[in-house]
This record gives sequence, C-alpha cells and structure tokens, in this order.
Amino acid sequence: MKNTRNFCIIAHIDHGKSTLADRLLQLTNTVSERDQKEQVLDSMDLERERGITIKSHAIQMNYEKGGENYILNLIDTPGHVDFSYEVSRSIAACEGALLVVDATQGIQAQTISNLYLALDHDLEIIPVLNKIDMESAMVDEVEDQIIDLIGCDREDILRASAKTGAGVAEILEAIVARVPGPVGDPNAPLQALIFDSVFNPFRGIIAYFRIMNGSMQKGDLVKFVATGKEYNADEIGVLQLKQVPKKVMSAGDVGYIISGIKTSREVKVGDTITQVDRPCDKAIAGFENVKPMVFAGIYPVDADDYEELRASIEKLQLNDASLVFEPESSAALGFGFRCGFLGLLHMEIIQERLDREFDMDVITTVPNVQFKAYTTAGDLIEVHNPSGLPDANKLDYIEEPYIIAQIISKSEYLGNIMTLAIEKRGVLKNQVYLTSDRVELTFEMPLSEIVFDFYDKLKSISRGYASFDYHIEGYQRATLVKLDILLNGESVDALSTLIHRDHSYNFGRKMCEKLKELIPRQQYDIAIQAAIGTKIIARETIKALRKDVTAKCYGGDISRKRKLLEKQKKGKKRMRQVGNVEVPQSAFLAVLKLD
Amino acid sequence: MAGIYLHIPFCKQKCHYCNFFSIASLKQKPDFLNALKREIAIQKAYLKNEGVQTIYFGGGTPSMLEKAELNSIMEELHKHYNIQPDVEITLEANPDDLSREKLKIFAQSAINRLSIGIQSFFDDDLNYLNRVHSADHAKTVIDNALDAGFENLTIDLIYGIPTLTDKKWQQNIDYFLASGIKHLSAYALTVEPRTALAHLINKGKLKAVDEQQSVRHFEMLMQSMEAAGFVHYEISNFAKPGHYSKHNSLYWIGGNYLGLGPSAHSYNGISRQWNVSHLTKYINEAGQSESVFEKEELTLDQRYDEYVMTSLRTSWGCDLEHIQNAFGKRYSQYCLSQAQAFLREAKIEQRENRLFLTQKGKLFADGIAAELFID
Ligand SMILES: Nc1nc2c(ncn2[C@@H]2O[C@H](COP(=O)(O)OP(=O)(O)OP(=O)(O)O)[C@@H](O)[C@H]2O)c(=O)[nH]1
Ligand code: SF4
Ligand SMILES: [Mg+2]
Repeated sequence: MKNTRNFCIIAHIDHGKSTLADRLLQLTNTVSERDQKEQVLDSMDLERERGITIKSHAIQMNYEKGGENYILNLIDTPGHVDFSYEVSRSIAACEGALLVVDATQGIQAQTISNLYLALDHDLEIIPVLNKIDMESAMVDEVEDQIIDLIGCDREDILRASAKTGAGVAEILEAIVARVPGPVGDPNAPLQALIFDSVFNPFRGIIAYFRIMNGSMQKGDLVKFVATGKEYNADEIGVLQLKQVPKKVMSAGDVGYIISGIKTSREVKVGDTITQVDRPCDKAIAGFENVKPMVFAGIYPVDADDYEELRASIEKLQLNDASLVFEPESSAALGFGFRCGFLGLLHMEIIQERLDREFDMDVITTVPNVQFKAYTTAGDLIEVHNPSGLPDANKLDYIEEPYIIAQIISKSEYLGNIMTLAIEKRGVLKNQVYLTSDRVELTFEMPLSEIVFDFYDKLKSISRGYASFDYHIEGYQRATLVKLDILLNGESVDALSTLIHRDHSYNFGRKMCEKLKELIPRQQYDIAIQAAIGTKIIARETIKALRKDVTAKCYGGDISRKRKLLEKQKKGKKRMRQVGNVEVPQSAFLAVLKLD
Repeated sequence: MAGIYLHIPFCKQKCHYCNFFSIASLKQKPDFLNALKREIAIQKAYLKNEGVQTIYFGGGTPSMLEKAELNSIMEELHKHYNIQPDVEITLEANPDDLSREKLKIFAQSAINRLSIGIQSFFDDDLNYLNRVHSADHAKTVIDNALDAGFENLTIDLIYGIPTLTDKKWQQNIDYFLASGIKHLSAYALTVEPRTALAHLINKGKLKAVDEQQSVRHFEMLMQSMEAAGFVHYEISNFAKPGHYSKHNSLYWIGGNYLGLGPSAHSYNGISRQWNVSHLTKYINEAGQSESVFEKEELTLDQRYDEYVMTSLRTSWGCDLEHIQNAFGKRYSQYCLSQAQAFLREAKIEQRENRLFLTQKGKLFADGIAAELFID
C-alpha cells in the first residue's frame, strides 16, 4: 500500500489531460507500441470523433523508481463543465491530482472549479504547466496565475509538454514523491466505494470501486450497503488497458467487480461494498446528488419501443450517474421520459449514446430549465416542462432560476460580450482586469437564456477566447409566457416553451419559419402557428406537395434515384405523426437552431 | 436481350437545365474516338456474347459525329459484339445539326431510329432553355426527317417551362400529334442542382419553375395522348402500340446493358458500374485502367428496390409473381402489403398479379416507390 499512488488529472477543457495521460502510459510501458494512439484513453467513438473526453477513465501503471516498484492508478477526467460530475467522483478515489494548465490559455473557469473540488477532498495538488512547446506559451505569466490561485511556490510547478514529452518524467517522480500513499486498514472490515459502473453486453453490469479499508477476494460474498443486495464476487481485478482479474485486492486499490448484478437499478454510484460475513459499521459518505440544469423529454420514435427505451436509459445511467429521468407523457408524442441534464452538450451526448450504444431512435424535445410556479392558492409547483404549468387562472406568478456567470476574455471583446449578455437579460455585477488585457466580467442572468445558444455565441464573438462558468444563484420572479406551436390547428405540447414576454413575438415568428424549413411538404397544406393562449402571434404555411416524380429514369438515373429514395425513406421512418402531420426528429429541436 | 449505350460528350453550347456530362468544345474529339474504340474492344466480354438488340448513341449531341466516325464506331462494335440482325440503332440528334444532307447521310447509315431534341415549338421557351435551334427549324427538321425516310422517329418535348403557357403546351402536343410521329418523350422541366438554370433562378434572372403548372401540363399530356391512341408506357414516354423504344424498355425491364464513353453506366443484373465523368481522364484511362469506372454490387434488397421503382413507372406494371420468383415470397408479400394504403387512395391499382400506378399515382411515383422499398 505504501507503494500505491492514486491520482487524477484535472483541468479546463482541452488543456491536454488526455495527451498527458498518453505520455505517462508510454513512459511506464503500460500501453504497447502497437496500441499507442493519440488520447488513447478516449476510447468511446464519440470522444474520438469530437476530440473531447466525456467519461473519466481509470488505468493502472507500474513504475519503478529508486529500486522500488510502484503501482500508480491514474484517472483521466473530462474538462467540459457538463461532465463535471465525472470529475467529482474520480476525485473521491484519489489522494492526489495533477492540475494541468495550458500555458497558452492560462487559468480558466474549469481550472478553478475542478481545483476546488479536489481541495474539498484534501487532495495533494501538483500543478503542471502544459504546452510549453508552443510559441504562444506565456510561461511566467501563467505561473504567476497558478501561484496566486493555489498559493504554491514557483518551484512546485512542473513545466511540461504533453506533446513532446518534455518534463513528463519529472511528473512521474513528483507523483511518487508528493502524492501520499493511500491510508486505510487492510485488516479492517471491507469498505469499498463504487465510483462508476457500466453495462457490458457480454459481461453484464460492471462496477468500479476504490477500496478504502479491508480487502476483497474473488468469490467473497459481498453486500451493496444502500440497496442491501448480496452478491458473489465472481470476478474482481484491476483496470489496465484491459481488465486484469486478481485473486485479492485491498485497501488503496482501484478496480472492478463483476458479480451477477441483475438490473441496472441495483448499482448506485456512491454506494459502499462490504463483506456479508464481516460488514463495516458505516457506509462511506457517498456523492452529492447531481442537480440537473436542463430538462427535456426523450421519446421513442416508434411508440412501441417505450419499454426498451426505459431499459436503455437505465443501462446508460449506469455509466452516466449525472443523468436523471422520470416517466412523462405528451399528447403529441405519447409515453416517454423527462430527463435532466447538466447542460446542452450532455443532452446531445445522451441522445447520441442512446442511438449508438443501444440502437434507440429517439426524439428529444425542446429543453427548458426548472421553473417555480406559485398558484393563487399559495402552492409551489416545480415545473420541468412547460405543459406542467398550472392553468392561467390558477397561476399567481412564476420564478425562474438565475445564475452568476463569470466570463473571462481578452479585453478587446468586452463590448461584444456586454451586448450579448444584455440581450440575454444579463445584468453586469462586476468587472475586474486580471491583467492589462484580460478581463473578468460577472453577470447575473436567467439560466434559461444560456441554455440554448449562449455559449456558442460567446465563443464566436470572442473568437473562441472567452471562457465561461456559472453557478445557480437562486430564483427570481419572471414575466414569462407559454408559447404554443400549433400544426394544422392542433397544439403540439412537445414544442411549447416558456419564454420572456418581451422576446415572445420574435421567438414565435422564428419558430414558425424554422419549422417551415424543417417539416417536409406533405399531401396537404400544413398551417404552422405560434400562439400565446388563444392569440395567434405568427403563422406560416407549408404548401402541399403536388408532385413527386422524377422525369428521367434511364441507365445512370436508376441507381442514383434508388439511393436518394432509400435515404428519403430512412428519414421518413424517423418522423413522428402529430395529428395528420409527419414531423421529423430535428423539428422538435428547432428552437436550438434559431439564429 | 442486351443493349449498348455510347455517350458522345460534345455539345455546341450548354442548355441551361442540362446536367448531362458534355462539353462545348470539339478539340478532344479525335482522342475521344480512339479511347472509345479501345473501350469497345476491352469490354467485349461484359455482355457475355448475349445478342445485342439495341444500340443507342446518346450524349451530349451524337448528331455532331461525321459519317465516317459513326461508321468506324459501328465497325468496331460489330467486330466485338453479337449484334442481332434486327438491332435498333438510335441516334440522339439536335435540330441544328440536321440539315437535309445530314439527314440523308444518317438515313443511309446503320442508324434506323432518330431521337430529336425538339423541346418546344416556341422560340421563347427555347430561349429560356438556352437551346441552339429555332422553333421554325424544329418544325422543318421533323418534315425533313420524315421525308428522308425515318419511319422510326421520336422527339423530346419539355413541359413546365415558366414561359410555356397551358395554351402553348396544348399547341405543342397538338403539333406533335399532327406530325404523325409515333413516339414521344415528354419531360417535366427539372431544376437540377449545380446547373446554370438553378443558378439563374437563384439570382432571380430566370423565372422559377411552378409545380402546379407542371402538374397541369402532365395531366393535359396524359389526356391528349390517351385520346390519340398512345400508350403511356412509361412516366415520360408515349408510343403507338408496337412503337416502344427497345432501348428505353431495356432499362425498365432490368435487361443488361453496356455503357461506353465518359459517365456511361453499365448493368449486368448483379452489379452496376459507371465511367468517370471527365473527358481527359476518360481518354487517358479508357481501355487501359480499371480506374476509369466505379462499381457497385447490388444486394438482393437493392435489386428488389430497383425493380419496384422502375417497373411501377411502366405500363407493364410491377409484377408480384416476378418478384416472388426472382426475390422470394417474403418480398412479394411485403410489396403487396406496403401497397395497400395506395390501393385505398387509388394511386395504385391491381390487375391480376400486377400493380400499376393510376394517373393520380403517376404524379407521386417516387414517394410511392420509396414506401414499397425494403426497410
Ligand atoms: N502543442 C501542444 N499541444 C498539446 C499539448 N498537450 C495537448 N495538446 C493538444 O491539445 C489538444 C487537446 O488535448 P487533449 O489531451 O484532448 O485535452 P484534454 O484536456 O484531455 O481535453 P478534454 O478531455 O476534452 O477536456 C489536442 O489537440 C492535443 O494534441 C502540448 O503539450 N503541446
Ligand atoms: S443538348 Fe443535351 S447534353 Fe447537350 S447541353 Fe443540351 S441538354 Fe445537355
Ligand atoms: Mg481529455
């Protein structure tokens, strides 16, 4: 145990965590020459396609120093704010953290947030200044920022390039020297913390744990404390690039267990594993519950797939503890689930993963934040869905969540950012120059305004320079109206939104225009209307399709046309009948695509 | 039954709506002809010595070929393929190429069927389309072709042109009917992406095509042609009984054909292949390198899809028994069950074991075919 080191790599997005992990794995010969590739720990297709880490990934390395053999358990974490729950759980399995800072960007929002998460757990922080190979690296300046932030000495900061490998050997040395070995009593009753889990179609449900005290043997009868369920530890082992079975594991170890767990609901991250024969007296303090920021409905494209969708979401939840859901139903879409997400990227990833990993074709509805509705009778109703709003005559007033948003940017973009924030109902609370050309702006603004496209807009007006972080501040009274969309006179609940009164006309008009673009022409005219209550505020018409036939169908036209029609048919299968109108999946997210 | 298609990729000028592969310069014609002959020789095994009953010179504008050029191509074909005595040899021609002399020459050559790109008998429509010829000349050419002895004659007309009023369209149909020609191909003007027409409409320089008008024109056409005793034997083709185009029919009954020349497509019942749409590449690679074409093997599902799509467009209809024999019972049952909704809407009708598009259904041939496709 004294030769074990458990540490995670944390940073703002794109500061080079996964690339640094590559170098550490390379230097310790954990990954063979043949298996080496960039960001090898980003093993999901989605991660590789998007070039970002979505899941934390634990891996064990062997390392020899000064005649001693060490076991180093590394956990690479995501940097995007939507996946911060992954970071907080990884931290609970570690004694140390490499805080990576990109020398060309300096400290950014998630550098700070993730640092605080690590400090809350008393982790030893090793600051790493990365990307020093780059010409635009501001080594001294960013080191000053780091010293200011964590109060360390300049010598404590390790300069490195995850790209060239410079300084990486020193990082390994520092991990051994500075991160404390795990404390915990291998002879005490077993206490292991479940920090993640996954459904594997071949092997069933796998839980990842960190043993705090005691030890576990293959074949032991173990118990999950929160659920009270008992299992045989059929297989336990450590996480290398593949899973490597072990006979015994003990305090300080990080590993996995396969134990014939039947249903997804039996595994809860934060639960404690103990032995049935010799149980521990108390469970490890688990994790704080996640607070979803954004809610949206997820419905099967084919209504018959409802139960399968439930099973799929449950399995996905095993591997994404930040996803919450409950059943709901919609007049337009039938039975589905109201899901809570940590942000829009999170929502998009969930939809993608349902499609790729579970082959579930789903419709995601317009996302919204959580509102508080107060009735005239004085009751408070938490509203996750515009259609859950009480009737107008019973509604006293609505409150919406507000955030404190921190934006750090080059000062030349200050004007643009101000304009954007004010357009989004933001109020400037503070303005601080961090350096002569870097400014930090603090706004108070409604969360609902940033849900849709705020971040993309911010990035584009600041040429990608601005960083953005926020936390929920509380609720404030709001002048919101419910905007309904009607297709051929029928209100489509899945397209309703709650929106500030001042924005409603403009918004309604844009929604109608966008839907006209997204809904294909059909056999009848389709009227698209936006309404507040009974008042129609905007209208578009999609003219009926009068003719759908190719003029020429000779040699080459045949295969060309066949391919086109095949594609068309696929698209059609992904449409949902609402009244007599076929609505494509994409239309339900029209609101996200308004400009 | 098998056929050969030859793509002659030259035109005097580009028509606005054209998305065929052709270029408006004759500079590479000699090189092209050499390459074509090389390809004719090298592909001789493609049709497995099956009897060739139709040869089609398309383009482009094959009427720009000289007599000697045509003859040398024919000679090369005879050398390598099993050409049947009753072969139909069609030449696509533009009116501007068809002087009396040229018509006489073609009449004396192996060509026994002429397909003339008339498009309209009105100058403003021809202008809109950027055609080379005039309306007057179009009329003269028809008389001259008949005079020259071309029994087997067909013309192309285009409807749905914004300048073509309903009245003018009826006049075009009537002019055709009065001419005594026994075959007509009539196409709805289609704005293909990346054509001059698409660009000019986008820029507001030409009037946009109106779908309603096109629908009306199609309905007028069906009515007049039927009344005059023509068989609507494919969505865009009409003929007096016994005067169907062998070549076109070949495509729709799933026959084998070999396409030669740039952008030409071939089909042998299992795979399709198509040549590069690039003249210099074609000239350099034809007969020398496999990279001149791309190839695609068709799955059973894809072959079924193609059969449904093409057969539904024809007066022979979609034969459920053929589907059962060629693809299996699962396919014929699926086809019939998918057709139910259209039978109810009177877009498809069933006679014995065949499905046919009704007049109403013909307007929606694509969407209907897609519904009958395998999922
Ligand atoms: N020049 C240079 N580029 C680097 C270095 N480290 C990482 N990069 C590049 O920075 C980009 C982001 O690297 P990642 O390792 O994916 O960053 P990350 O922190 O894991 O990102 P997330 O997991 O999405 O938060 C990639 O293009 C890397 O190649 C470095 O030291 N020098
Ligand atoms: S004549 Fe035919 S191939 Fe030539 S440009 Fe006109 S439409 Fe195209
Ligand atoms: Mg990463």
